[in-house]
Amino acid sequence: MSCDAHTVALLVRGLNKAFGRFVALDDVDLTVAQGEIRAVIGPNGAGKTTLINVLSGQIVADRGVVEVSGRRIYRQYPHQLAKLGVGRTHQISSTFRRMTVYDNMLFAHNSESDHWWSLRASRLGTMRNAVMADLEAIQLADIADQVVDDISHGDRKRLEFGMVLAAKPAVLLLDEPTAGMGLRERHELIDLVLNEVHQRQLTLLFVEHDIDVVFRAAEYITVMSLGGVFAEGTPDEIANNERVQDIYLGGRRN
Amino acid sequence: MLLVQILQGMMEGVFLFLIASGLTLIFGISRIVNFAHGSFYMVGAFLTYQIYPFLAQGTITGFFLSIGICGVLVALLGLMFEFFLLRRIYRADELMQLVLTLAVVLIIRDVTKFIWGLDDVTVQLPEALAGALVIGDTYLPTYQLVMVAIGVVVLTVAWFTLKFTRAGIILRAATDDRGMVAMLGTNQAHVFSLVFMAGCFLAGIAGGFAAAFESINYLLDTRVIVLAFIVVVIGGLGNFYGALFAALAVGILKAIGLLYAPRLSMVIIFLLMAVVLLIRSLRRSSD
Amino acid sequence: MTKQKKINNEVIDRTSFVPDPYAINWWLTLSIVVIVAAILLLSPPLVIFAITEVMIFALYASALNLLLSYSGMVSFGHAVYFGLGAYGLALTITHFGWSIPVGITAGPIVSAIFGMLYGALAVQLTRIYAAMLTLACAEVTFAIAFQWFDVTGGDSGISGHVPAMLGLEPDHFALVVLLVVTGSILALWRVVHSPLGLTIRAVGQNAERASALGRGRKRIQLMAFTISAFFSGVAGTLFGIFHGNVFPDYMGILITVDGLVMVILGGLYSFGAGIYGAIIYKILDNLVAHYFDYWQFVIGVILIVVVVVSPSGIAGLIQRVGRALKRGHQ
Repeated sequence: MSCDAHTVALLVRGLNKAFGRFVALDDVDLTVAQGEIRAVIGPNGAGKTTLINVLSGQIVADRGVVEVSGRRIYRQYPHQLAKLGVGRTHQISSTFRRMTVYDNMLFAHNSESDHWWSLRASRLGTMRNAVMADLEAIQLADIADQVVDDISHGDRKRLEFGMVLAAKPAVLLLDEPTAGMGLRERHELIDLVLNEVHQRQLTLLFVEHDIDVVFRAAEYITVMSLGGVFAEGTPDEIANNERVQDIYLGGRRN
Repeated sequence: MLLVQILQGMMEGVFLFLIASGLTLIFGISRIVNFAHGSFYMVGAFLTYQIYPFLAQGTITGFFLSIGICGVLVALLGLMFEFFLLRRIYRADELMQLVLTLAVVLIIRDVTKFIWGLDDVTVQLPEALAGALVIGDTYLPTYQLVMVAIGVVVLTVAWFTLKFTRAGIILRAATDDRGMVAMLGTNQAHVFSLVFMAGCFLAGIAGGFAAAFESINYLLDTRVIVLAFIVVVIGGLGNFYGALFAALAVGILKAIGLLYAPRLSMVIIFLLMAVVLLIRSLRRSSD
Repeated sequence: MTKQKKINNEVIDRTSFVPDPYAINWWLTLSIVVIVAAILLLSPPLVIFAITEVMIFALYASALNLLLSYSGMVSFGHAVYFGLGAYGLALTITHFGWSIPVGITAGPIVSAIFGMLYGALAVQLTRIYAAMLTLACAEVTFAIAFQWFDVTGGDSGISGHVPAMLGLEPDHFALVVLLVVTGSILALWRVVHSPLGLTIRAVGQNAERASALGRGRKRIQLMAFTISAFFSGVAGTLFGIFHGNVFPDYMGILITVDGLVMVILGGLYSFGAGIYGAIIYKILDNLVAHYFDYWQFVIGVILIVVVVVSPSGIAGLIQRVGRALKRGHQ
């Protein structure tokens, strides 16, 4: 792929991370162009979530270079990376479970504004329309006043996605966005994701186990195994790659 | 003079280690911060005071036997606490755990006050342990040497258990990854209870040994629990060997502090803890 | 806030009133103030003293509640900010020779400054480690107050720097306290229900998610800590004026534990925890402690009952009763 520095959204070179004796990331190289939709797949324990954790600032790598939108990141905190335009969802959706759906989205909007520290409650009132619009876009408007703990798993994941969008990211990192969902929900969600990504011209990197979803959405696929990049290619190339089939079917514990 | 202080410090360290190791293991396995641990220590002390006179008083065997029995009694008390109360809040948030264990502290303190009153009491050391080893100018109390020896014994037993026995291996695995315990086919609730009992046993015998060394009263739990927490925090929660080194460090520091700056010894210990904590926070680690 | 059946329009309308649930119910506030004032003016001095103390601790517990219920931090030794309010008042007058009004303003500011300093250290850590660090800070401060005889009067504290109750009649002073405490609690309400408060609550519930949305935990928790320390200081300053003195014990473990118990009794995760808790605790204290030697036992049992039966404390019970009554009416 041609790599003009200005159109590279994510650049990873020689990324290494070990937890004690367990090597989670082993010399990982990755280049994702701006606006690209990249899927990262691989067996369990391949290091996919660790990769996302490094890219979103949750974990500091041991060695290697990571650049997001051309900016070198090293020991930044997640909130600093969020301001650089990185948005991230979790395998198990991470939301504010004791607050209502509305308040969750309200927080996302409030955090975007300059006066998030204000003591004027009226400021929250001015965001109402934008918040409800966002909730409608992800079809959660009718349960806006429900506490997140009480809503369904799928709704929570949609909410999390919606909140991340509200923060106006440039790069989306989604960790198993459809995990735990039924077939139809999965397609609905990934279509929603793709819709937003295209509308806002975002870069998307997502980890997925559901091959259906992967082939539905991805423009390019990275296969990871045992902490390293095993193969890369277009969906067709990967589908026909025997070695990839092997690591999935040949044995779960390598 | 310094050697004597260091020995005393090591003995203090052994006390603290016995308490802190139980505390840290309990946390490692169940993520519970047990504020009532100092209270179990205190109960052990008072029970020893109560029972010792009836068990071949004056002999070494009687002494160790009564302490052992008290340890078991405290372990049983701990089991009751764990079974009836603690189990309900394993998954509750930390503040609730704090409140529950704090409530037990208050209850045990008043019960102790009720049974044994406000006065100081102490346990008479058997003759054989009450003397001292005299080396030239230095006077090393036998009891402190014995305590250090006991510390070594406990440490060896613990090390052996952790490293070689099935129970120990499960414990180490469980501290690392609690989910593993369930998958290994062991009953998680049983593991929790056993560990809690073991921790209380250690706290109980520590109390028993302490009763022979210094006078005890119903305020013992507060004195001890703060120090125990400092030790556990310095050593790292869940870190058994960390608790050992921290206990010795705090014990010795306290003894030396009492010698040179008695009014500031607690402050120094707190400052040590604060420094350790802050230095650790500088390593921006992930979790 | 009742949950009615969800029909699309209704829900949207209700959420459009979102600022309103956050708004201060002025009628309620006014009624309470008037009622309490009336009680004060009609009561004998002993009752007035008791009520004054309840009000002061209601504020302290509410300030602590901000931290415990909303910001996800635990503070051991929070009494240090209470005590510093009183010490700030005393030392500004005795040591720096300034006037009483200056002293009164200085008290809470001193608490806030220490809150910011100690808080800055504490937020570098999390959970039990942070809590232990707050304890260390509190203990060191206590030790300084206890031992720096020349400045703080050591064990004997400082007295006489301000006439007890500013020389007012008990009921008049109590009215002053009522106004200050009401104003402070309203301010706390405003903080909790503002954009800042929303941010604090989010960080307290899920710091990771808040961080991923751009709000770093440390800064937010430090802000909450400082605000909490400030209002604890207001309570402490009032207390110092009430008694006309200050002792190291004002920073001591007893007040810390009292505060924790009050918040738990009142109902964790609710705004009124401090208020309800202070009232219940002080009533029990006055009724039981004077007649029964084993007061701590009673508190312990009550706490266990609260945790096991109603973890959301009195506030939770009230909410449940309220909901049941409303359901009964429908």
